Formats: sequence, structure tokens, C-alpha cells
Amino acid sequence: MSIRAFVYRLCRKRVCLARLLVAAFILFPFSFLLVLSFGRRWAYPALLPGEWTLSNWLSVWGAQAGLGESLALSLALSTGIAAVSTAASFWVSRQVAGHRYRRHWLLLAYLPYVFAPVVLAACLQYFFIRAGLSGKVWGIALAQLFITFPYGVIFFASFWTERMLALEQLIATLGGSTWQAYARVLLPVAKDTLMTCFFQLFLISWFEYGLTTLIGVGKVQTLTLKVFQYVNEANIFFAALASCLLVLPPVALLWLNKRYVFSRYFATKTPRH
Amino acid sequence: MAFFIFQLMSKGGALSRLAFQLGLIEGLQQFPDWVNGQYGIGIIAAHFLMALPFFIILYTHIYQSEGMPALAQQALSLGASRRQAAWRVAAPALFRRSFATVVLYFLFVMGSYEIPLLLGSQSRQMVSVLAIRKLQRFNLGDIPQAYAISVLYSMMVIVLVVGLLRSKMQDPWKEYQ
Repeated sequence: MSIRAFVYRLCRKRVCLARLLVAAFILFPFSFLLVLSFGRRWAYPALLPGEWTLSNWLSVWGAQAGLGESLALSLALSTGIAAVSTAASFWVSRQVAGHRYRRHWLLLAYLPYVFAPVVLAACLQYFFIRAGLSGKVWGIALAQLFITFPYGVIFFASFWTERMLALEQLIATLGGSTWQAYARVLLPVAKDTLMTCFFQLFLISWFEYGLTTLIGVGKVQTLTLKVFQYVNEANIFFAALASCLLVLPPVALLWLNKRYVFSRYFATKTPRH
Repeated sequence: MAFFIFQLMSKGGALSRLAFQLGLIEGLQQFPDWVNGQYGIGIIAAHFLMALPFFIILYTHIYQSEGMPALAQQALSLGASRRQAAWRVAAPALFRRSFATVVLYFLFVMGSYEIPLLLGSQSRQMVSVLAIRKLQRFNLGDIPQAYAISVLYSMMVIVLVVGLLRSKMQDPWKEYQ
């Protein structure tokens, strides 16, 4: 083997090793929590739990742990909030885009997003109590809209370009109504952007803790609340299990996003010779 | 991420156990206070690990979209060293393009609640944790203090956002009308 070939193979091996290291670095937190979720009795200074069991995972749907209920509630809440926020912010961002003070509106949209959600919740808590929404699922849904909706408006800011205006004008010139413009052209064109926005808003709602705790006053037990509850109870195995459950839907969404949205996006962007 | 760092870096966590097995420490009391300590090392580690992938993706995207490879090549052709091309050409351009995102991320970290709640010190609290702890106390005198902290924090954020982003933020609909 020549020196050049040897160096080339060594470099290839180093690249492979670096990739493996990066993959291990990314996967380590998930695998660590997964290992803990199957464990029991982890006395110091043992590196691994003393006992391995499936009972933690089997108890997900048990009434005692209530993890299944929390998972279903979190899924329903986050899906509903993401759907409503995506639809509303898409329409509102169009109105803002055409407004003469659009820059000021956009700046205002940044504010609830950059506030700490928990501080925002502290400021709004009084009104939620007076409205009878404190401790209710609807109250949490409304409170989370305060952070997801502006994020959606900011997200769609880059969508309403000159090309979109030209499309709208073309539809109007050809006799199409506003409804037809949305239903037949704008929504199909924005399908991938809408999907990405939906995923991101789902994630914001899914991982929300502080605002949910304050407005829900601990009565609405989402999965993030469960994690903190188990941590406070020093039940690390159930906390790890709840963390794994918390990670699973975002990973599934990421895979779906990559599989169906990004691949299609890049396929349409790739020049064909 | 907070729970992972808690289990990894606390006195009874995985790193402490590993240090014991390697003979670096003789007991968990010798392991440093990385979690719930006064320097907030656990908080920094958690936010760093959370921000790392995001900023890698962001800067990779900006690097490509701004034509940085061509700019760096031009700098090298004009006699700059690799270090100069990186620090005096690419870095300022990358930072200028990402300025708004960095400021927003700074505000996000400053107002974060879950991570400092789990990994922070009990004596020196971050602003969101302090405000909520005061709000949840039974002493009625603490509740107005919580609101005062929240209002002060909000005002500071407004000043920062308006002051820093107003001049830098691009108008995405500049050519719309």
C-alpha cells in the first residue's frame, strides 16, 4: 500500500471516528435516560442500577402513575394549540404584512416571545384567576397561545414575499375571490411552511413548564409537570421514564419533518440538468 | 436536559460515580458542587448543550447563504492567513448576520425557568425563579415583590429588545408593498 493510500484511509477512518463521536455525544443523553428508565435500586457508587425491570414502562398505562393520562393530555393540548396557533398566525401575518406599520407589529410580536413565559404567566395570573380559567385545561391552552401565536407570526414573516403578493394579484386579476386565493393557491404553496410551523409550535407547547405550572396551579398534570413531580419525589427512575416519554413525540415529529417536509423541499430546490 | 445534567453532574450523579470508580475521589462529598452550586455550572452546561446544535445549524446555514467560502478564498488570495480569514472576514460577517438571534437567545436564557429551578443555587436565584418563588409564598408581603420583579424584568427586556434590535432587525416585508 502506498503512503498516499494509507494516509487517505487513515483520514477516512478519522472522519468515521469523528462522526461516531458526534453521534455518541448526541445520543448519550437519550440512552442515559433510557437506561435509567429500566433501572431500580441505584446505590452509590455503582455505575449502573442494581436491578433491571420492565415494570416502570408497564406502569405507564397504570392508574397509579398516571403517566398515560398525562401523555394523552399533553398530546391533545400541544396538538390543539399548535393547530390553532398555526392557522391564526398564518392569517394574521398576512394582514400584518400588508399593514403600513408592519415593522412595529413585528416588534410587538417579539415581546411575548422574548419575555420569560413564566414571568408573562405571573403578570397574567390575576386575570386568569378572575376569569375562572386558573387550574383549567382551557386556561392553559389560552395562556400558551400568548407565546405560540406571536412565534407563528414571526415565523410566517419570511413567507409573505413579493412573489406571494404577485400570486395574490394574479388570482384577483383572473377573477378569483380571497377564499379561492387561500384555498386553491396560498395554502397549497404554504403547505410545507405550515407543517414546519406546526411542528415548532407543538414543541414549544410540549416542553412548556413554568407557564403551565402557574396557570394550571398543578391541577393540570402535563408530562413536563410529571417529570418535575418525580424529581421532587426523588423517584429518578420514573422521572427518567417520563423524560423518555417526553422525548419520543418530538423525535417522531423530527423524523416525519425530515422524511416528508425537508426531503420534498430539497427535492424541489435541487436543480435538474 | 435539566434532569439529564442533574443525574450526570450532581454529587450522586454518573460523573461522581465514575470519579469514585477511577479513584479520583473517596466519597461523594469530595465531588465539586456543579449542580445547585453558587457558580451555576450545571445551568451553564445545560444551556450550552441545548444551544450548541442550534447555533451549529444556524452558523452553517449563514456560512453557506452568505457565500463565506468564496469570501474566505478571496481573503486568502489577497494575502491573508487562514487565521485572519477566519477572524477578520468570516467571524464579523457571521456575527452581524446572527446578532438578532444571539440577542433573542440571550433573553431566552436570562428568562429561563426550568433549568435554574432544577440546577440552580437556593441562595442566588435567577430572576424568573426568584419571582415565582416569591409569588408562591404564603407571606402576602412577598407577592407584590414578585410582581415588582416581573415588571422590572419586563421593562429591562423591552428596553433591550427595542434598543438592540430596532436598528439591526431586518424588515422581512420591505419589498412587499
